[in-house]
Amino acid sequence: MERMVGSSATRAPRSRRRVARVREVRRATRLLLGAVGIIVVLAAWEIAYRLGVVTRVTASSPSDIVHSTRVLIDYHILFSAMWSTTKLFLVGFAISLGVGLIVGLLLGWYKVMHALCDPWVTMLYAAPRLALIPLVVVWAGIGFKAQVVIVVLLGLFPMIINTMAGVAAMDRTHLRVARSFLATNRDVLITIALPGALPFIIAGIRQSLVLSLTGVVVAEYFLGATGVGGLIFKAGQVLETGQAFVGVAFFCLAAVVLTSLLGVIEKHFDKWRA
Amino acid sequence: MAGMSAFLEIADLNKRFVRRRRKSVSELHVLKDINLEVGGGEFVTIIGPSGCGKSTLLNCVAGLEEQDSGSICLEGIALAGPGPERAFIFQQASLLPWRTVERNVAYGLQLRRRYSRNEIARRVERAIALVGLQGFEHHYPHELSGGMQQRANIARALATEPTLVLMDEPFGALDALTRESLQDELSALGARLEQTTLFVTHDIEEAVYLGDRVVVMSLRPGRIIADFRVPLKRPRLRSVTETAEFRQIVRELRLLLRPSGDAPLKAEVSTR
Repeated sequence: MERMVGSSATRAPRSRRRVARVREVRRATRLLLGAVGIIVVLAAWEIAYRLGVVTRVTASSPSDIVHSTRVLIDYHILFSAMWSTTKLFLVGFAISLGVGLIVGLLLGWYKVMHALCDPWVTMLYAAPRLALIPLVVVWAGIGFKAQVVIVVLLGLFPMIINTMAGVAAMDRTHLRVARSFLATNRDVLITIALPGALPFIIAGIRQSLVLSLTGVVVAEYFLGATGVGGLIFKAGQVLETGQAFVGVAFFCLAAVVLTSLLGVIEKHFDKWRA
Repeated sequence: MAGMSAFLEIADLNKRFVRRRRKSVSELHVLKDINLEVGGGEFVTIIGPSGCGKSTLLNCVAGLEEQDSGSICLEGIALAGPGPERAFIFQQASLLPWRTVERNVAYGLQLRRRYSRNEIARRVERAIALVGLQGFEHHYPHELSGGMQQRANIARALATEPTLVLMDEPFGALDALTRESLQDELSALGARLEQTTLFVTHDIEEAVYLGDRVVVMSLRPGRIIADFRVPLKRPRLRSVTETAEFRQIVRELRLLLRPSGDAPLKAEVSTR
């Protein structure tokens, strides 16, 4: 009977491999079509510009954006702006993740703390937190510190909410298993609650990532016009549409790279899910 | 009580659940004056209708629930809370889905914090071999069939080398064929291992096939109404279930559990 179970199970991986190959082909096709889609739009844009349908000021053009990029590099503007933006993002995002994870764990684990803080967290999560910008300026001025506050303001709450929900959704059976093996509270937290909450936590990181990027742009627009956000803002004011698009393209690329990076991490931690 | 004490001794155990509704407070007497002695190495099956408190009894022995009165002694020592000498095997898939079979089986040992990495690896390997899961060490639970998941579950419990194994309808959620094959294996395993087992089930044939003794419980309040010694020799093979002797025991048990024969189950409540 063991042999019977064994043979049926060795058949499974082979068919799984075939399914994986089919999926890979489909993925490659999808990527190709996506690239075609991008090229078509960029080409149409360029043609519209060459035909005079749009002007350099109203919509710029792909070739003008390339040209603007070169200008920004030549004037030593682009890379320092990118570095300044990256620094702001990394600091703000790291604080959101770290603080959000810890607060989320505490709120998910301790019922009293959850009850105590839930109204605030829920309210701040749902509220348009950008309304606080003027107050942030009052509290922290308009420097780097204030910009970080804005980024954290946006990035923190999805992290808290998701981590909290993940810990609170702990499986009762798993808890009983841990208890039957004499698990301490710390054991339960580390071996049951945390791994079980991981899919939630990753969802939180994803939301926090997107919102932190938004926070970076907003902070740079309104608090000092620094970095790539400031570059877009200033270029827009002097009708340098091409330069503004360089900044926009930077944020688009950053968002794509960061979310796909997260996708890779997610896949790694998701092996155990059916 | 004087002289030789049993390996496991349950005395005058009572357990009530208090249920509060908006206006009334109802009390459910789940276990009533349970007295049970189990000898070392015995395989005792506990059978009764759904809701008779047999799982609650097991939970009390496991230390996952506390009795209201009475005592549970293991080798003469009163139990309070879970202990390393007992291992519980749950009904549903209770494997941790984010751990591979190997790491699931190691789970109980890791929590002990007493064993070296090598010792854990050695015990895990042995437990996995015992339940015939070699080759699946690195599979995640969702990649296994229900039967294989339950084998891993058993391996996880056996890896801690308990002296008392508590099984709560471990095969209840499996299909009939898988259930039979796991019963056969458990029966063979029991012959090789020395531990004492309490096995809760609502399947009469399973209770007779596996048990050295069958303890029968009644519906609320849960009491022990019969305690059979199964006179079938070990090791038992599947074919024993077709013998007249086996059928006779099953018939007697069924009469005990359902005195009015084929009448609806509810009838038995009034005849307690």
